[in-house]
Amino acid sequence: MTWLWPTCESLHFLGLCLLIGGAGFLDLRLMGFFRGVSIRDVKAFMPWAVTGFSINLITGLLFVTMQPHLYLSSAVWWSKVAFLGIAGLNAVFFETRLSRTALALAPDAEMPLTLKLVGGVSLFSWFAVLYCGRMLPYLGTGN
Amino acid sequence: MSFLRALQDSAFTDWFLGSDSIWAYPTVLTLHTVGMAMLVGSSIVVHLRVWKVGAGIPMAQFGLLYRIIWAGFVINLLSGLVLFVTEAADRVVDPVFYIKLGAIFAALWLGVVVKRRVIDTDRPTQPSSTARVRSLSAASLALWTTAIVAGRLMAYLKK
Repeated sequence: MTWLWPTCESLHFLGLCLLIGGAGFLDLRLMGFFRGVSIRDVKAFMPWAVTGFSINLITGLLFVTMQPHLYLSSAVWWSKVAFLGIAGLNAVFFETRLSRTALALAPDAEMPLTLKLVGGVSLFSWFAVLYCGRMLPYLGTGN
Repeated sequence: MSFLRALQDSAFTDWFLGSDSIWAYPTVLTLHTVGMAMLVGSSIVVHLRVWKVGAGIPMAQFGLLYRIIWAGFVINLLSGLVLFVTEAADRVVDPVFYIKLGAIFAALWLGVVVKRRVIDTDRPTQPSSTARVRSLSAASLALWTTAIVAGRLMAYLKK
């Protein structure tokens, strides 16, 4: 079983790239970059981001199951969970309240401030999740 | 070889790996992961577009994605150099390290070829749909996967 942990880690890194690649593209579009590209087309990448998220949720839960003491006692891990919560709630807010407005925008329209903020919060949160995850073995463990 | 051994055994390496400061090894390692997310994440978007995900997007609009790809590459080249120096003598004889490097440069090169073929000469007639370009994109994605798995394995092949 020595291969299990490195395999899950590799999958976790690949999932991270799918998630930040796909979701980051939509985030940047909402922030006003890639002007001229329709939001509907950018959203076509979301199933790939969700695939990446699912890979990371499954492998992440495996990590916690295999070494619960390592994670549950770590403030950095709980920070990671908090940023995941912010990213998730932000995405739900976008999908339920703002998605229709966003899809109705002309591709070259000026982005409303609310959408810019939602995009910025999302991009920041995903990188904060990455930061907490990667720093977890080194921050606040006393070693 | 003795030069690489000297690098690996230098005072810098001792400080970098032994320091309690999170600004040494942990931060450089995290920068390497941030750079990976920028570099590989944006590459995935480009190559999925070649495979017709978001097919309405003119690929000429992808200039910013390529700038993110290059920024991620520079971050990882610099952070990677620092990480290499502190393990120089071990890595120079580690075949997995060469697999990782080869995969990265081949994946980047294919990314540049795809850019020249479909982005710099974007036409509404979907040049990106040619089977040849699609296979270049698929190969690039497979190489990025190889680079990531090799990079992860290197952490386990440390002495």
